[in-house]
Amino acid sequence: MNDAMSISTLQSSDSSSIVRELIRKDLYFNRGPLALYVIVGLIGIGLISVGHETTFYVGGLLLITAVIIIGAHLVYANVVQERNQQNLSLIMSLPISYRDYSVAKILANLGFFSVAWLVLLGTAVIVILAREGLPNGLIPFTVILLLELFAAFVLVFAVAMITESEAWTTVIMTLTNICVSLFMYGINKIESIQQYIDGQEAVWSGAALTVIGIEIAVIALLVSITLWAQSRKHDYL
Amino acid sequence: MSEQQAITLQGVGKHYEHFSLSDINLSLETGSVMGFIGPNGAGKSSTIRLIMGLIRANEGQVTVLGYDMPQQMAAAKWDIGFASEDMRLFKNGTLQWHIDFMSSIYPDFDMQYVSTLIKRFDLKPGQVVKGFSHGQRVKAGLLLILARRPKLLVLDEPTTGLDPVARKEVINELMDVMMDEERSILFSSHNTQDVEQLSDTITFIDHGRIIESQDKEAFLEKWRRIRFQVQDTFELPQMDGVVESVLRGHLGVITTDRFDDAMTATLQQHGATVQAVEPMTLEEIFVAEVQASRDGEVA
Repeated sequence: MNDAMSISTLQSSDSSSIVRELIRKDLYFNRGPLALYVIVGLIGIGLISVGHETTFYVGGLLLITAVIIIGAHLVYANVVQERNQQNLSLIMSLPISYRDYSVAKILANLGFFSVAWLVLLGTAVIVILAREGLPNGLIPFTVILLLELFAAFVLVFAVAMITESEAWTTVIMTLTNICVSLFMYGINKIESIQQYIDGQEAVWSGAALTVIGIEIAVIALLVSITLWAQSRKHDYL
Repeated sequence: MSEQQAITLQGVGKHYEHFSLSDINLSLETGSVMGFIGPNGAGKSSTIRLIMGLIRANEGQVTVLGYDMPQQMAAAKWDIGFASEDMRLFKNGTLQWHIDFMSSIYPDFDMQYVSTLIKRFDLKPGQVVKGFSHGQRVKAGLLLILARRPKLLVLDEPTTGLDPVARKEVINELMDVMMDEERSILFSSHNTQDVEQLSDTITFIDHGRIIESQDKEAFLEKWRRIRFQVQDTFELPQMDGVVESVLRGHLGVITTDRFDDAMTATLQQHGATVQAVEPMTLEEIFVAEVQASRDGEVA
């Protein structure tokens, strides 16, 4: 019994160390582009802080674009291309299960995206708070918008992992990008959010908190669905 | 499973929409080298994926190094070195990066052997993989596997597309591996020359079925082509083990997979003059086996 337990513990520690190596591998191959996109996002925030209407919109667009590109890059480089370029055979020849592979992919992609996302969100919030020309009422809207981009990334990632199809990944990515402007339009139609955007105080209305709650729940649900769907697969190549 | 068996497949089936592997029974003894031969699309790669646990059988049992596959694939793969034609290293990584990556995973990764193989294969550790030729990629992949010194090597078409020099280097290295009697190799190819050189057991597969599996020497001993001359009235006598017979004019050729001296005696008794009893190459045996198997399917 003790032997069986120690073998099981040993294997579990082996597989977690390989998962760690797989995450490090993804970081190694993506650190350059990710840093570049974060810089583009920071430039966008810089333009927002200038205070002119034009630079505000250009900066906002640059920030949204940077977040979308970070997600697209991660999904294509780490999931789609790894399969298309036949690196998956190499990874699956390592002493891991398909579950270990899926966990490594989820941790790497969500982890890298979260770090970049938090840097951009944190900087945006600090800039809004620091600049007098920018109303603090923008903060809830910024959080809601960036969380929508986070959820869209997780959706595209889940589709790439589950369907293993570049075509479906591209279709869903295009649809989520189209939905960003529709989402912004929709949020602006919610009066209890819209009425505070230009205010000097950041107001976390019930509607704003509900939207944020739904976004977080969608992200958690998509991650769970990805893990569940991956665990039901029988053929990995 | 007996500890003597590195690989055992019992009644294994895997079904796709347009292709099926059916009733695959296969065993590879520890310390032996099996050449797995089949035409393109015969089911070699699918069988190897089943062995590696990368796909799950619809029926039957796959056991590798005592582990049930695919359930225990993670544990089994510590001792398996796997390379396939459709496996690629990371194009933006250098060979050195791949070596470091593998050594971070396998504690017993043999860096001294890596240095030897780098020299033997004439590879540059600092070179990015996307600049490698096909031969360099194959040799680099093999280096990463061999330096782990796995108990079992599973190689899916490792010599396909290699120039003669690179092929010779790869074959030589595999021959070195075979010196270790505890290590087993399953080696698929449609290049019978390589298989003949390396293997001590040969398995033929076609249309998703194993059509023959036995010792290489037994194959080469039993298969013969008998050339003979006959008169107008000659009729071919009934003989066991005739895979193919051709009679054109006064010349006849019989291909047999169960040759013994009684066959030539029978032919002579029926008035034929035996001109030659020729041994066959593995390629000729392979083609005859596949043809006979397909003729059997049609009949």
